[in-house]
Amino acid sequence: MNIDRIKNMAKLDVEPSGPDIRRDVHTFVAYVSQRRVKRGHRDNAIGKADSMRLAKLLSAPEVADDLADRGYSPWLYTIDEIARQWGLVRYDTKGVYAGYTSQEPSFPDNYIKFDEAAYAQLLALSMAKQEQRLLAALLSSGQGGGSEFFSAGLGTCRLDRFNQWGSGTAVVPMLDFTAIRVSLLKLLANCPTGEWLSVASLVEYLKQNNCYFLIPKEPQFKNKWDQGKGRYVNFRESRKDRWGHEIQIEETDPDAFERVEGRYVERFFEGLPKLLGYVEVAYGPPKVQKLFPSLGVLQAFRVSERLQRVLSGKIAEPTLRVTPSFDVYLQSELYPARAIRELQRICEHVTEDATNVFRLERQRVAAACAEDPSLDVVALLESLSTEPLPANVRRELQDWAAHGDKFVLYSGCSLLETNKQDPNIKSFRVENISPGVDIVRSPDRLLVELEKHQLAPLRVKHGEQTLSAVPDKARSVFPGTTQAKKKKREAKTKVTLMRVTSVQLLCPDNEFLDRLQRLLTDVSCPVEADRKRLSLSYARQFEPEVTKAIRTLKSDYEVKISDQ
Amino acid sequence: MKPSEMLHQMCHSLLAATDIKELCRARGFASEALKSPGILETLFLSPQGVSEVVASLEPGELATLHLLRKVDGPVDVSFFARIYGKRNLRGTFNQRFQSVFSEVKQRLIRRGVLLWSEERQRLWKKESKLELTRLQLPVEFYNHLPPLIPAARAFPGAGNWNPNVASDKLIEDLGNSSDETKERLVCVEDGELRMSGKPFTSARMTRWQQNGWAQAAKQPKQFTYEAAKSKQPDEAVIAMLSELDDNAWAGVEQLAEPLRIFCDTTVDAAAVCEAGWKWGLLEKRREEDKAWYRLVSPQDRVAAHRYLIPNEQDDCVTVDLRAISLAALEQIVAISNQRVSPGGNGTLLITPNFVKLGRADDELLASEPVQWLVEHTKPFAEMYVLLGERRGQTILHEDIALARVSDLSLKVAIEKALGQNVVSLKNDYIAFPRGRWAEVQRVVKKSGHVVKEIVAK
Repeated sequence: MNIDRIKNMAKLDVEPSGPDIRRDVHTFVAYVSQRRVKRGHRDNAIGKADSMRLAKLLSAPEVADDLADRGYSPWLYTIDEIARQWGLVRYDTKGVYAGYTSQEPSFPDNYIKFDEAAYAQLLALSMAKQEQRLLAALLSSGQGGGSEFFSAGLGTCRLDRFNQWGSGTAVVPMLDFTAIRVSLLKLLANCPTGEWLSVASLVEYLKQNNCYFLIPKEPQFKNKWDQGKGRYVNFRESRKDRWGHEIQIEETDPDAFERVEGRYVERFFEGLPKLLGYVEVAYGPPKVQKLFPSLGVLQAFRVSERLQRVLSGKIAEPTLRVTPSFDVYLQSELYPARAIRELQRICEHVTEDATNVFRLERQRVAAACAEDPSLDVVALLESLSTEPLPANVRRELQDWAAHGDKFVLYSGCSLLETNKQDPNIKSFRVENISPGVDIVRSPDRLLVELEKHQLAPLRVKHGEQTLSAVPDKARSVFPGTTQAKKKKREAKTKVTLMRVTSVQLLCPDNEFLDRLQRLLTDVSCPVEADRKRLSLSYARQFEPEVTKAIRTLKSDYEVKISDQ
Repeated sequence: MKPSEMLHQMCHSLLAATDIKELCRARGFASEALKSPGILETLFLSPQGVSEVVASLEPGELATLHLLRKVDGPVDVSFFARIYGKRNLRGTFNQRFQSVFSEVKQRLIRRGVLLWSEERQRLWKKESKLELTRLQLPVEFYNHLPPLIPAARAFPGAGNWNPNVASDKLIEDLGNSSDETKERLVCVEDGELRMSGKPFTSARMTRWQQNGWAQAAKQPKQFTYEAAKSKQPDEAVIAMLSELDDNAWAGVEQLAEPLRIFCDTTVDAAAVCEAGWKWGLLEKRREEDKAWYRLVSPQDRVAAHRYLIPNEQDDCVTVDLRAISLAALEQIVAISNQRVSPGGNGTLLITPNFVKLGRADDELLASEPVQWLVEHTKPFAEMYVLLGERRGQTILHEDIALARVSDLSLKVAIEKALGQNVVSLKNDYIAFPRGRWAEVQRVVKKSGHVVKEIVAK
């Protein structure tokens, strides 16, 4: 194949990679499996609240904007549709006509149901087969008016489309776009990889070698009316705006191939191949658009090696490596849904990219083991890993797995205490705690059985917040009525002790003592004087008043207070 | 609406100055209450003046207040149509009851006997103010109501009672047990005395008597306002006679007016009371050429040997249905198997049932008939001894959470969190109330452990 390389990419605008459709399908399925998602009664669309939550989880940033602007997201619709086509989710698509005069079906109580078995089947497939299923779903979607000619593809699309007016008649409905896309993908697979190639050159190549790849030379029209109108009857250009359709492209036009097939090739690149990461595309510098739809805007493409591997079914399985620091590195060319699902049960998902980084966590490992007793974490990691697990990780994982058994709750069970090892309770026994003490199920039936055996069972119904006391005569490990009463201690008499810290000032003489006492009495400060010891005692809380009084005396005395 | 809210609304927004003035005068409140709704609100529920006001009411009004006391809640204006209204079925609610409300306001609200409020308008139903009006007798005034039958008389001695209604029915139904075509109220099925397919109880038998009385005293159907608040004649008589003191009797003519108010229609009191007597629910006596009635007083306990006869040949005990009281029969039925005596002579044969004995509570086991059976009959005595040996040996604990905690520190933390409400069992198991699960879960999570759940299938 002789297609021109583009040597100078400086003037071209390379489109960055778009959202990951593979990841989003699995994210959508995970969301639906965890929630009860109800579809709209009238439009059968996912509700606004769920859509907004999904918008935050999906990788396409335009979902939130589309929902805000239009109330509808094509990306979310596609993801939902792929999940339904694969049988991962089920819901009513036909609806019911609620009344005799109903124009449209209604969808009452239409909840999305997650099919776990189908999902497990999908995850069990190899990466290559999963990719082929996705490719098949996307290749067959968008026929006729929904094709690249007239409808924008998924993800970010810059190119405008032909006016859809009249696309339901003549040539377009006859075209098999699945076959067209497959033929183009095969052609791309033969192109050199890793090099920027010219789109115009590819179109020229097609014109020279396979000019009827899109529209047959002599299309078999369904009616005579269309027969005389030629192969390009559905394609019209405009010089006014994207809604115009005044210029009819004729087969006799010398550049008719470039204007129809060439435009298709540009828009095909922007669709499926770019979305699945099979090609990268580059656009020419922006210009004032004089012709609608645009022509020659997408100028270059670069084929990835992934395309060849997908078509030949040679996609490698993900590789996993566990480090001694409990980090797990998961490397995969495509989204490794199964490995991620398994690892998320026992690890924290630290980084999400081409290489996913996880961190093993004790609590998650213990919880996973508690939830699924058959889970062998070491075996799971070894099955995914290409290298043997580090010895310390292996040892710790075994410890952590055992940690899940530290607290075992028996739900919906009752406790039976008996002095006999009656074989008849075997069918009711969940666990034997000790001789004569059993955890049992179906208490009502068991009670009848015990009564039949004349064991005169006592039925003790415990309170929601407190344990009921068993009768005193009963032989039980539970506290009896008297014992329970004893436990309630008599209420003690409440006594509050007031603590008063008093300060004692030893005065030098009676005169000083009298003056100080007088000053304190004037400000209603309770003070106790001992004239024999020349001391004044007061509570610490009156310290400010005493300080003030001493300050007054400083006019006549030089007062110095020393602590004993 | 709560009574306190009704009172607040009445004092602050509904009563006009004239109403307050009238109310204060009737109840004898101080002049401060006239000026301040807050003071009026405080004083209203005080006993001041209530007895005087109530004593001045007409007998019909008094009977209505007694009925309002039985209702024990707010009612709408239509309730008072029984004393102030005419049987006018046409017109809007306001047209029918405006005059009734005027009377209620004049006679009861302005005299400070009733609470008055207006319900909030409901979104889905547009109602007039009168329809939203609610009236209630405050609980605080219940004790100030004079007796409903003021002229009740006390006579010495017991009256005439028809004690055999229940036993006659039992004997009638059980005596014809061989006749399968006959529809019977009481029968023995699978060794169990049953009434209408349900286990026999004295309350169920009394209800049957009341139903019989209700059927006999049934009045022709008439339209009544607030039909739900009106009582059936038998219910009304029971409600009125239950207010009488011990040894007090009510004459038929004394019951006539309250009965009309309670039933909201004219009722033949003599016929209703006579039916009550026939059904064994009222006692009757004739004094001064008049019939006097009261509710059946509790009967003297009949000694167990009067109705229980040990039958040692068949290892069973014969129960004389004519002599046994309903309560004793219920107790015996609760611990034994029954079968009808082959002679069809109105007796029942009983044998001990260990399952029933096992289910019996201590009070039932200590009751006189059960104790008599244990002391005087061999089969019951043997079963009782066996029960004594086995009772309390097998215990089934329900509504309890059970867990195995292998980590000692976690177990200690749980015991610390739950205190006395956790029981340590052997081999690391614990039991605690189900309602404390959230607390336990918090402790488990805090200590870095996870919960493994085993669900009983």
